[in-house]
Amino acid sequence: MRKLTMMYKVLSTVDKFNAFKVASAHCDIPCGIYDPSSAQIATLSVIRALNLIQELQELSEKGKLSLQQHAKLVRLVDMKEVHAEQVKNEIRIIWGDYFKKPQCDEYPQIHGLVHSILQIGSKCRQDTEQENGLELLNLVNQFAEIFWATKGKKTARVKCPYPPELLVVYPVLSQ
Amino acid sequence: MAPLLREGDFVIISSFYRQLCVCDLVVIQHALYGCMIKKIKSITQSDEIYLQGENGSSLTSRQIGKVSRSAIKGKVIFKSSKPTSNEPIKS
Repeated sequence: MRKLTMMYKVLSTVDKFNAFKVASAHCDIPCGIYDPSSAQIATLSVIRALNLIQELQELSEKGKLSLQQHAKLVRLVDMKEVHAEQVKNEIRIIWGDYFKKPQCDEYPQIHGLVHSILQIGSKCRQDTEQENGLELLNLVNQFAEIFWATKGKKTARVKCPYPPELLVVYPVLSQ
Repeated sequence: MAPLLREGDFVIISSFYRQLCVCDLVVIQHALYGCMIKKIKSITQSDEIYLQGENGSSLTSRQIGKVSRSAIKGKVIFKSSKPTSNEPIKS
């Protein structure tokens, strides 16, 4: 045991003069894994729910909404609420925990952008206007672009390969 | 990687190894997560490597994705754990 402690002491001393490369283990506590993709997927879910609610609204106006469709409407509203709150939560965490002074100095617009996301996220919960969902995606995409820029990663706007098939910001990664 | 590895532990890796096996600890350069250390979970017939952590808080194999051999910087051949509070380092 004493030999092992001595070995650690030797390595620590060498590390002080000639720092070894650090390898992260990437566990949740504490590791700094942040990724706006969860917020983006939740935003797409909000938009999808809004689109489906709109379809039901058209049937409702014709007085053709069945009991089953009423039940579906309830589910969609619930889904919209949950995912809009998830967007707000994911963005809050990245902004509050990941963004520090250097990132905030480089992208001072981040504070206003986050505030706008939280506001429009609440609007998505409050009503069923599809424009709110699209505006939420627009803002979350801007947030994702800034986030990846702070990591020195290029991004591309690509149409997501599933409904609602809207442009989403993805990082351009290479091995 | 706790309890196998904790923050502040040192590892020595070797880029020269005969073969990689399941449960070997490796250091890789990941496109998204940077330089990271993980345990080999499986190696497919097409030589794709899947990694895993040691505890429930770790990134999952799915999040890490498949890793090619070229991304592996080395295999851990020695580790030196940071002494616990019961064994202080005398400076």
